[in-house]
Amino acid sequence: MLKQQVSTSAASYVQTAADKRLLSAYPFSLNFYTDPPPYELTLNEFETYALARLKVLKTCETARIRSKDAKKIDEHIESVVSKELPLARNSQLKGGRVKAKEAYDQRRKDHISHFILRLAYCQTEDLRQWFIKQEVALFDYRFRIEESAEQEAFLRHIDLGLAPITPEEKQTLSIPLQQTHGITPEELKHQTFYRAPFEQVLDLVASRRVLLRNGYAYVSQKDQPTLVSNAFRHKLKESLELTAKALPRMDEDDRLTPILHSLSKQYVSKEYDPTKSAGEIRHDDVDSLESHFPPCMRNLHQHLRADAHLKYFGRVQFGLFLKGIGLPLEEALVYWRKAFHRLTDDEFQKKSYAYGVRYNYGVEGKRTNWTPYSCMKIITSNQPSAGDHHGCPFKHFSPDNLRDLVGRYGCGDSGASEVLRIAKAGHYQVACTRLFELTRGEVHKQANRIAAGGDAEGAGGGGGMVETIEHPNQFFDMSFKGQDSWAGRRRRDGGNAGSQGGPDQSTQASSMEVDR
Amino acid sequence: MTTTDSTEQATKVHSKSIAIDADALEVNGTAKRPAGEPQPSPSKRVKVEEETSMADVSFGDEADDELLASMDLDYPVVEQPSKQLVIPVIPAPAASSSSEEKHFIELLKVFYQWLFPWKLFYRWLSYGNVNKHVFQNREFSFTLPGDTYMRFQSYKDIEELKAHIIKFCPVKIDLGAVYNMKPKDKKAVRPGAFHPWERELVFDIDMTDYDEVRTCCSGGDICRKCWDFMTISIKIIDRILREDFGFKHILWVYSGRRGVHCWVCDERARKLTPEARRAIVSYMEVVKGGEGVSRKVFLRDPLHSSLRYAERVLEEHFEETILDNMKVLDTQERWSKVLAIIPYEEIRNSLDSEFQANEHMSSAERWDRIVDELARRKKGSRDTVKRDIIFQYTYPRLDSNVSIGLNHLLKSPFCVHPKTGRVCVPIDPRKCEEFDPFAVPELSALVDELNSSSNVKVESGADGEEGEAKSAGTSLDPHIKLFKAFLSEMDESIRESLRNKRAEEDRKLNF
Repeated sequence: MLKQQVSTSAASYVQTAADKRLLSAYPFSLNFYTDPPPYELTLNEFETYALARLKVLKTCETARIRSKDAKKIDEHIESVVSKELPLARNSQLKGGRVKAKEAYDQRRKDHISHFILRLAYCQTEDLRQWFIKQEVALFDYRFRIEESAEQEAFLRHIDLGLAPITPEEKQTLSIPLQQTHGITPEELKHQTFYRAPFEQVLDLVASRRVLLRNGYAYVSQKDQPTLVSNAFRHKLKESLELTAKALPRMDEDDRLTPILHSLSKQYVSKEYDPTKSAGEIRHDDVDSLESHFPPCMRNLHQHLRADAHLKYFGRVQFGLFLKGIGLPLEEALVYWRKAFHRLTDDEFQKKSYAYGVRYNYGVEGKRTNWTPYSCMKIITSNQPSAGDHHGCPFKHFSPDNLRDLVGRYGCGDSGASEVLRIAKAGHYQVACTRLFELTRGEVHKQANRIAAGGDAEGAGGGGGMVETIEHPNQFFDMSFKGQDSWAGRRRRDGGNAGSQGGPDQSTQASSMEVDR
Repeated sequence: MTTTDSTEQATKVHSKSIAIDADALEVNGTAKRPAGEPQPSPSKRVKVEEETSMADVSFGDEADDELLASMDLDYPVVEQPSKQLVIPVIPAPAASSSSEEKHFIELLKVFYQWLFPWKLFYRWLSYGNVNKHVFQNREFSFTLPGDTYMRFQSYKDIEELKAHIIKFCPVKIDLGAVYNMKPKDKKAVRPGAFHPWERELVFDIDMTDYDEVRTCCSGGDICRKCWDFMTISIKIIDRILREDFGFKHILWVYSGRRGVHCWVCDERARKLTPEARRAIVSYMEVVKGGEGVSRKVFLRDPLHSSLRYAERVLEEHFEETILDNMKVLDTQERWSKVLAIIPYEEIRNSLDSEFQANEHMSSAERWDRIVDELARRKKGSRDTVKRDIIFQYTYPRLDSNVSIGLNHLLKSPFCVHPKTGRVCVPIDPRKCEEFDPFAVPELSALVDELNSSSNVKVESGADGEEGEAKSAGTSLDPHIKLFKAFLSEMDESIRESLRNKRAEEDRKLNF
């Protein structure tokens, strides 16, 4: 149990026993979760508390995916937190707007639910990482919305052991400090700086928002939230690893195991399962299917055709996508060999491209049946650098090049502008979805109507609304199905984009290349 | 099993994907077997294991990029129990090699035997032998002639390592991380129980990343003109590592062909987490974006103090390297790339037609025009476009994956590059401008020097100092001296930290 000297603004209004209990257990709404909860609770509480927190953490995750705007993220988190895991601030206690008993219960629930999820999310590195990320986001959010007096009191309470730098040191560093923070000498005078080993403020280092000298970072008081947040992350990471080691030896109630197990399974957002809508395809079908490729894959495909080569991450991204649309291993080997037609057999072997293909299909190395990359993975990992064509065009292309690529889908000038605008705002998947709606929406809707028995009319305008695209293979499947069920009537009349680029043409071109 | 059978099987298991179990190979006593020689009898079977562990390889260099890149960098290092195949054949190491290749291997053997600085190498990798596991748990990986790959080798001491290397004569030696246990024992534990413990902070700068800005050569070729990019990189990164991050023991090494490697060997650097390495890389990285982006540099104004220094270096080099040597504004194709970075359409268009009209303008003159136009548009306030163009064309480009993962491999110093025959020698960062990749000692020349040198008797005793002793008098000598100087400084630091630790313990005891 927490038994520290309490020196907080809350101390001034201690009156009742409930207040005292609140103060001794939870002096702050914020919590570093250093001590496990010493309570007994019912199985029902156990489960509902955990689920409530899980909802909040998931919201933290999606909020950041949906928006880059800090304010919107906060609003989004707020809406769920207030329902699932409300947490009264000390300032709200003062005017009696929230009773001490209520605040105590809220903080207790926060405390307990955190520790339950620790148990559920400590077991694998993946789970730990996810949990830490979301918990840190939640903590940051709560820290942000606290009043500054309360923030400072909390900082004193957790004591990060940072001493401000001396005036002399500040004097010596005055020029680089001004440059780093873009401030005037006057502003510099009024700011306090702290010195910390650079390992403690990695995100400030990574974004070059801090002055480094000799292994030390000179952190401005303005960046204190980062310090706190990092300390929180660090502590949580350590404790999770300890929990993971201790868990197998814990004498656990076997009623809990299944609950914990199912909790930990809930984190991953549902994986898109490619349906191989085109059935099993052959290596020479790939070109004719290009019209159904999402922009990222079309881009890779075209560069593969033009250069007879793709760099590593391009091969993985495109190779797994092809696997997802139904290209079996044997065909994939032929496909890639032909695609890299400028290489001799010997070179092709030597550079182990074939190994890479087999690796993708899980017959080499780790023997994992790798799944195609999702949009999220493509957008967030392996940023393309010089010579790379992989990635998400909506994120990684400059506007001119993106307009060019999008234009080839035949969405018209205004359509392209709209898509570009969405992409520029950082909603890459929405932009891709919009492009789909503009160029294939009608077909898709019709297809769905046929499938649903003919009465899905009504919903959505402007080209037919579709669900957000979360996976390149989803784009392909939706596009292919649309054409498939409707092909007979509209395919060749040229009104629909998607048949642009002329499949026949590209097949010819490629076979010429291959047979050179 | 008959010979035919075995050959067939061996072919099925693609030779590239085979890792030889070193101990098993020893059964045969020799790794090399002339092609066409009768296969060994079943009793001499060699255990060949399907490769299971390439998933976590990454490297830095050269001809191997593609090979290496095709091994995944991204998937976690979890080993699965591998299927054991017993195949009575050695994947004929040099079977397909030409006589030239055979000659190379022979020279290489001489090099490993007499010239490679084994003692110093051990002094480096044992880090004062404060903890013996630092050497014993280090992963060594070899590429054997014929492109067979051996990963997760480890050795109890330098003699064992040396004997092994001389025996197999790898064309490339890679250094991996120090693991929590001996890498060669990793199969004995459950997957996941084997993980990297520490590793130098490394950087890999490769000329291919500059292909979009260099005009003199492409791909694997380099010339003295484009080597400037490496000189600039060394200057900038070396300063950041020393002054910003406070590292002291930094070894720069020529990669043997078209790039440089950097090994930061301070204890603090070796213990960095992947997150910390990622942050350091990101602190250094300025040029971002793939082929789909024209403008790859967006730096804020005012510039971070660390980039101020970089800017000075870049400005010193920009005119000569980029304008005079690379001539990046000489043809329309080239200047369009530069103009595409400028965000103002009117300037782009007017300059483009102006350049077209004046065919004989030099790059420097055209650059002055660009600078003028940008300055005129901004009137007084500082313009960031010019600065960002300079950064995009000259700032160091890193292969970040190599730096971030602990388990990634990087070619060892003092290897011989199989294509160029040049030795991967250390570079003195203080004199990086004087470094000439074309003056680096070459294997065949070294062996000639060795043969003609009077104090060398190749047949003489095989003990102790031979590596160092024989290199004296050859052109490898100055490079070995440089390595020695680096090691002396490092040993001094190690001793100092030991002294401090002891003093600390004494102090504790006194209380």
